[in-house]
Amino acid sequence: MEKRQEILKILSSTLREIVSRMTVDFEQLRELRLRVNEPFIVIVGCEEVFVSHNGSLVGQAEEAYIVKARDIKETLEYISSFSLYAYEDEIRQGYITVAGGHRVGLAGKVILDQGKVRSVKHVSFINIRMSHEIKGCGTMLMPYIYDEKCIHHTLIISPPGCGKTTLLRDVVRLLSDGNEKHLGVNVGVVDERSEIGASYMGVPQNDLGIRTDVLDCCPKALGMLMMIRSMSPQVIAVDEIGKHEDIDALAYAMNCGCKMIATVHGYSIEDIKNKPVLRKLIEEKMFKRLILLKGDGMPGRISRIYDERGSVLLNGEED
Amino acid sequence: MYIKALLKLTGAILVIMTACLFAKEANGMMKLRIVQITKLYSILSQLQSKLKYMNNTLPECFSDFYHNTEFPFDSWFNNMAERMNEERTDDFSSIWSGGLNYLYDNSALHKSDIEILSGLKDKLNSYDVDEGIKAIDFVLLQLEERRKELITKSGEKQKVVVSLCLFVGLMTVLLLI
Repeated sequence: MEKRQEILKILSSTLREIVSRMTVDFEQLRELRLRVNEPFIVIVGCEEVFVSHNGSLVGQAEEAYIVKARDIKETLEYISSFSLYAYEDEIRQGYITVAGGHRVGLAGKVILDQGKVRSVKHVSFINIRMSHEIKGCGTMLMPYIYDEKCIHHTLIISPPGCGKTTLLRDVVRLLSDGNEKHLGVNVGVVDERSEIGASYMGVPQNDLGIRTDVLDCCPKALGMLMMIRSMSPQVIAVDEIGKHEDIDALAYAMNCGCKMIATVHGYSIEDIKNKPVLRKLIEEKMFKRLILLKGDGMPGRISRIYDERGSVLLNGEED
Repeated sequence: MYIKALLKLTGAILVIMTACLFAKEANGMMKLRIVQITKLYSILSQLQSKLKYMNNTLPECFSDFYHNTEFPFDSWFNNMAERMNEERTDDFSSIWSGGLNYLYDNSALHKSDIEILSGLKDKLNSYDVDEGIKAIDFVLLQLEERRKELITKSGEKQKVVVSLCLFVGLMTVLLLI
């Protein structure tokens, strides 16, 4: 199913009419933002625009279609296949992944139970983030990840929104499929937030390669151990490590002979060193390749690649 | 004379037999209503388990009931599951209400039985699974009460219907003779 259909299928009848009239390239569409009694906003490329009643993109909020509570209610029903209760865990996390791998973020009244989020009721804000796969964005990285005979433990570092998950996804696909020089390997993906595979009903909606197994919605630390025990992967990929238990599980996986490909939030190597939990990764030289992405808003652009000693192997800033 | 008496006797038997058939039909409808309420009770109990333990979505549950129930429940669930899966124009409460209209037209259930079910239209798809389960519990309670009430009354009603039909038959015979 193409992106347009996937999105139209989950929108309320009124919004569906409006969006179906929009003359916009759905490949460029990044977000649809619905807020009760506020203008309907879409983000195309890097630009935020309002959408009018007839589907035309306008610059003024006054001309935009005002989203009704009914639109939100109906959209929620379609997103959840009329069964919100079946998505209780996802709603508690604040998002639901729909067919096509698109992520629907929700906000409303949070119901707490003994200090923990039990549910989100009266959802009044919906953010539909389009799933974007950029196949091939990891190709130039592969010579640095592959050694002659093995794969290096690799850590991708970048600020939020700079494409580290997109890059990780493509690296997983490339490692799993292999190429003329290197055979494909079994890759285990522990996808805690369904961002790598964007699984819908257990099936990854993104191409993760032919030798990839995915543990969807599983906590990273637990998932890594489960993967080692059950699927004997040669490579394990995880997104956004940050807790003590993640680091411990990562070290355990490395000791078991698995190669790790991981991502972490950060602006530089120094920034990572300053974080108490993550410092160990750099100081103990756990990763052989450290890939720093540019924070210029363009996804997946490499700033520098370092080895474990801190030597620069590639300087993307010189491009 | 003999033939005339024979014809009268045959006519009388026919009238009384028709009255008996009418009584049987009326009692049959009454029994069918009880049977369908019992089936509905069983289906809703299964639905409750599916929501509670299997976390199935409503279209999945309805498709499953379509394959595992008999008319009119199979087509009732099939209609709703199809509407939920098609290019949607309705919300759940409209789909549920439409489904109940179909059930009313195609079953022995009375309007008052259907009204019990209409309480689920805002509850089945709520955020909280417990809310749906409690709503089904309430419906089950009402259905069980209705079933007991019908069983108690049906014995008396059946006798009344048979007596009434026989009486009308006999009176017709007497009038004709």
